[in-house]
Amino acid sequence: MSAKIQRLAEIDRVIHEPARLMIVALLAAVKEADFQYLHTTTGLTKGNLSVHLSKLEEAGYVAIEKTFRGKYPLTVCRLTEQGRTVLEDYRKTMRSALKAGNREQGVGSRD
Amino acid sequence: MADSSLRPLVGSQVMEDPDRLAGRLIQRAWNRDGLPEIAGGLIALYVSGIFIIQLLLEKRWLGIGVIQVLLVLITPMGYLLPRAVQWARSRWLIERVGYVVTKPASAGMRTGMAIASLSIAVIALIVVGLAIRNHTVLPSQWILAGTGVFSGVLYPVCGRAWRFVFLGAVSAVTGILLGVYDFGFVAGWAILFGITGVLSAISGTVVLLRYLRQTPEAGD
Repeated sequence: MSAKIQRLAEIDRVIHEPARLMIVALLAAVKEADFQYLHTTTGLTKGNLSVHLSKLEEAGYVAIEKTFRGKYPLTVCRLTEQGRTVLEDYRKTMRSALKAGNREQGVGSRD
Repeated sequence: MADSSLRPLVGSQVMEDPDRLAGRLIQRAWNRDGLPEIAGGLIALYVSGIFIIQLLLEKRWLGIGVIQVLLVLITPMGYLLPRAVQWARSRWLIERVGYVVTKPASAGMRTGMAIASLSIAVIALIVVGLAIRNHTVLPSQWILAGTGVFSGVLYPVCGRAWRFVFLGAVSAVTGILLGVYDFGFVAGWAILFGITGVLSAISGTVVLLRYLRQTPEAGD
């Protein structure tokens, strides 16, 4: 089996979870966003989103700041540098593993 | 029982490139409250209005002056309306749609856009230049049909919702009909932009009203 596929065993499980991957991907595409925006954009329930954000904050991938915009309370979330690096590594690992998998399947089907 | 909040992740999205997934979700969120459609519709109606004025005030100095001023205002309108949408959201809809600060376009993207715009302008100038040199008239009906079909393709690509497929289809069919039946070039533009503008504004208003009724304010 390819070493690239074997690297999947070492993949970061915090970011690999689909809901957390969606949150991190969204935050990577914007400068910052608040809880309500993430809630309406991802379609996750508030409880679910809160739990996933806490896990991402604990891992150091997301920074959360509580502030106000006028009278409206904001829970502003942004991706940390560590979070950005982890997402980039995740993408590279997944992409190369999928490519290697496809290549091996191609070889197997010819045998 | 499966958690219904994970519904957006079911299917191929899980294995999708995170960048594409984020881009699609953000684009869908941008169009969710109907405000961009209303803004787009207003711009189209404004352009249609310019052509209608041109038809009504043809050959009068006042008409030419009015048209020149209105034409100059299109660019700032195109620049200001998306900002007006963002301002209106943060002023009145923040508790429903939330707060987001998008990233400024990267230097690479800005350069790419500038090169693309310049290329289109150069190609257009070459086509017009060749047409003038060879004394051939530009096929105005083709331009109308092409614009209708082009915007018909742009609608669903930018909107990422079924209502944009409908708007795109109307735009394409209108463009083709205007290409087939000769209503005159100026009248054709007025009809094309008028129909797409009215439909876009109506669709945006309906979506906005439904959005306000369906989405409770945060904390409700």
